[in-house]
Amino acid sequence: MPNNTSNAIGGVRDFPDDFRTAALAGVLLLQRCRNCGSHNPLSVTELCHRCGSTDLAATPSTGRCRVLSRTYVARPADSGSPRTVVFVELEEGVRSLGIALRGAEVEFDEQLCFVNCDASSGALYFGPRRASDDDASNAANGAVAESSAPFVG
Amino acid sequence: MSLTSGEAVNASRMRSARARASLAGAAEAVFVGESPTSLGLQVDAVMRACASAGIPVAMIDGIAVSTSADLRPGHMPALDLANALGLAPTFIDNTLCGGSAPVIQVARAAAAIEQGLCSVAVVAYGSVQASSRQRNKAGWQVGSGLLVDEIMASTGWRNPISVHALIAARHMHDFGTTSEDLARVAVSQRSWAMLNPTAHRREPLSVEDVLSSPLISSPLHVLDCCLITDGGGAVVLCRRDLLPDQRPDVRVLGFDEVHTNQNLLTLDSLTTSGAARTGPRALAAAGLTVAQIDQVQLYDAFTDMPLILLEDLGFCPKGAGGAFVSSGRISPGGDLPMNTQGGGLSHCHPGMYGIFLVIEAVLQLQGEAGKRQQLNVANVLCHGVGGGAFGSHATLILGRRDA
Repeated sequence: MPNNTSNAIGGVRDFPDDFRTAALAGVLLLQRCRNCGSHNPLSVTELCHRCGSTDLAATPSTGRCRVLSRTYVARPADSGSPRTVVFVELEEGVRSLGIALRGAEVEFDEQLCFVNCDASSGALYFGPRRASDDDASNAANGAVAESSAPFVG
Repeated sequence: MSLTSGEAVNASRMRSARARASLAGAAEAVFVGESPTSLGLQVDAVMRACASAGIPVAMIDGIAVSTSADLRPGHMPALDLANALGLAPTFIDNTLCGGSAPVIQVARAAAAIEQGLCSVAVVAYGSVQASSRQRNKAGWQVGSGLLVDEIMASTGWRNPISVHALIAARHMHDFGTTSEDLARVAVSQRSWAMLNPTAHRREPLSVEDVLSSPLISSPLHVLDCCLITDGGGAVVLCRRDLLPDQRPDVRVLGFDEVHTNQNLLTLDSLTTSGAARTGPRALAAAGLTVAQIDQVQLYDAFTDMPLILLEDLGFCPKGAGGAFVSSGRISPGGDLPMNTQGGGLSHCHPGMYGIFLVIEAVLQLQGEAGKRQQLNVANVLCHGVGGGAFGSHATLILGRRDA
């Protein structure tokens, strides 16, 4: 197992805070291993889950993803409006949970894109992929959607 | 030369190192008073299980206890139970992995007996999650400070209901499983519960009732979800030479466990679970095939669970679970009785259901299951599920092997 604890972008301990800051700016941040190149699941922040390296770098995701499954939550735990929660797999192979934007296609295997993050709840919103989303730099540069209203119905 | 007390104990352990273990008794707690406690339910269940086994409580030298929502700082469940029973055990286990833990602890206790670490072990569980309002259908809204918990909880989902909603939805998409198939799991469990006087829900239930119950997280309705109750139970294992005369000899024939993920974001497959690994390995250890299993006790916190477990354990091909449960084979009169006490959907579900899977298997193997007793039960497969997102699996195969 590599014994390199350096981390040029923020450090492992800072990743959750960096993730939150970036998400509010419309960028999904991931941890990528400099040793083997794999991306960590969002629940793994200490070591590379593939090779055990601590040489991890925070890198922006393209935000492009595929719907693995979705559920219409009729009675959300936060007592808010019903919404469709989507379980997605990002292009980088990392999985996330989020809320589908109003009007978003939420069919199985549908292609979606990360849009933005609700400032109060921290919820991640995913919406239809636009032509501009095919340019990976858009997500990395912090494109923020106009609407964050949850998809209902 | 005479042995000191300590040497005698050690010598006894050495002699018993090759001894085998038997499950001697099993019992559920009976509620006494208006304000039961988790520990009180454990004590009551242990006393009843020991009485059914014909083994004095004072002989217990192994204690295994699991817990979930009532875990608190400084909480040491096995020591709490030992203290309450006035015992100083030589083996304890506090395995915490959710509802699979009691199933795992039976195997741990049997192994401890076989290694000479103890002679009589109890596996106990008790919870008052319902009466103490520690749990409701809003589920776990974790305040751990972990990023992954924030990401999931911020969606407003119902954890763990929505985990299984996502699993069920994908299974329906991939294999054509229907909401009616899921509902038939609940209906089957209820038909068994109607034969169980201790089941919480015993009124008749139809597929239409399930489908017309309030939708929580599609495709799961209220009646696709387990009960939220108080409850407790215990099983007693002993060295085989300590098994009282005339007691049926129920043994652990095979066991396997795997822990694949703690949360949804690290769940590899929505439609194939860890049971696909543990089932074949436990059957191989037991030297049995699925055709030799007389009945199954499968964790059923939500209706998708046993449907997928039946596939993964090898009772039907992947994707055929819907047709299998709808065929009537798991219901009273079917050839593979499943959850004969009514399961977590209709019997009880005090936070974790694993102990009740084993209790029912022991009662069926001992011929003590009352109106729901099945004939000629020789081999029962129990499968416990735990973890944060269908991620902890344990298959335990018990069998009656009278001399």
